[in-house]
Amino acid sequence: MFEIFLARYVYFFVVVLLAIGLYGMLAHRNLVKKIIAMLIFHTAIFIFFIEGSVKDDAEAPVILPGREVVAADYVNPLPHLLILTAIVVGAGIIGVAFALLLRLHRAYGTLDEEAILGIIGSELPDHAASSPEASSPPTSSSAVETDPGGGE
Amino acid sequence: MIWQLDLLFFVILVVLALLALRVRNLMAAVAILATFSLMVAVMFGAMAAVDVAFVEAVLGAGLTGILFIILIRDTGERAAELESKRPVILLLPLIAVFVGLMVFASSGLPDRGDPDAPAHTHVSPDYIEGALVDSRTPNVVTAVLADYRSIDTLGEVIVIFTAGLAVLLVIRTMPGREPDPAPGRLDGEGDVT
Repeated sequence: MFEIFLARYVYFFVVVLLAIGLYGMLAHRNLVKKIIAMLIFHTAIFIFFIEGSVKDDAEAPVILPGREVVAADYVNPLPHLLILTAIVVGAGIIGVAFALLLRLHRAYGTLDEEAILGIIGSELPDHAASSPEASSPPTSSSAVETDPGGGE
Repeated sequence: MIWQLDLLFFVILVVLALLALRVRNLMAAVAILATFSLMVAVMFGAMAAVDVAFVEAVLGAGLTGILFIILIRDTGERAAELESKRPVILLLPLIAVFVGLMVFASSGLPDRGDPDAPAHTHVSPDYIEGALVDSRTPNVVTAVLADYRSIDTLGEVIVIFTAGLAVLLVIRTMPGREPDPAPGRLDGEGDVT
């Protein structure tokens, strides 16, 4: 029984972390909280992969000179590569998500999902009249013109 | 690695994840998330995944936290509403189905630390045994990333470049933009990674 627990507890904890992340993404109404939940979800996937690279009695995959190389002495390096790539791409995802959040905040003045949906819902019948974006076309065109200096 | 230590880390991670989602102050949530990432990095180091531990500590615990702080400072959103109007009754069965599916799927996976797991017996030994001979690089992860699979790494660079380009396009065409330095720092994000 205890051996089964030792062999399996990783999967249990990874599933718990995934469930926490999924619940956070669905239940929270603040978009920053949703991104925090997404990060917890994808960190759980990283842990799953790295736990899959572990071998009993193995070392870090750096070959020591002057010793015969036996694959069983070193942990599997391939999941490490996948997760290195995934972490870096994850940073790209966060960058794009934050750019979209900044833009949402400029347009609606809040990062609360239900408030944003409420504003969009109330705009639908007469969106030309009293929306917060009514003054946006002139500002956006002027922003595009003045941008090359400000953005660098 | 020592399984007791591993177990302790997992318990800490679950507690930190719950706290990060529970706490109302967004800055506190970001600090807890950075602690979560740092714990994950320590855990990776303990599992002999040293390269991944470095990257997770720098990007997960460092850069992500900085970007969160820039976002929160820029938008002025400090506190989150905890409860959604969406009924939890609808969510819990969904989460239960997800957990059930995952546990069912994990029943076919190999035991932890099994040296004969399928992932360890296919091409992985060739890479480990050939790295020093083929590329004169003792670190197998570096050898595979920058030598055997360098074209894939180029593909990864293209993905990051595309992300940086997307950030630039979204920020530059933003309506009602005030001249402040924070979006510029977000633009640079693509170059950092």
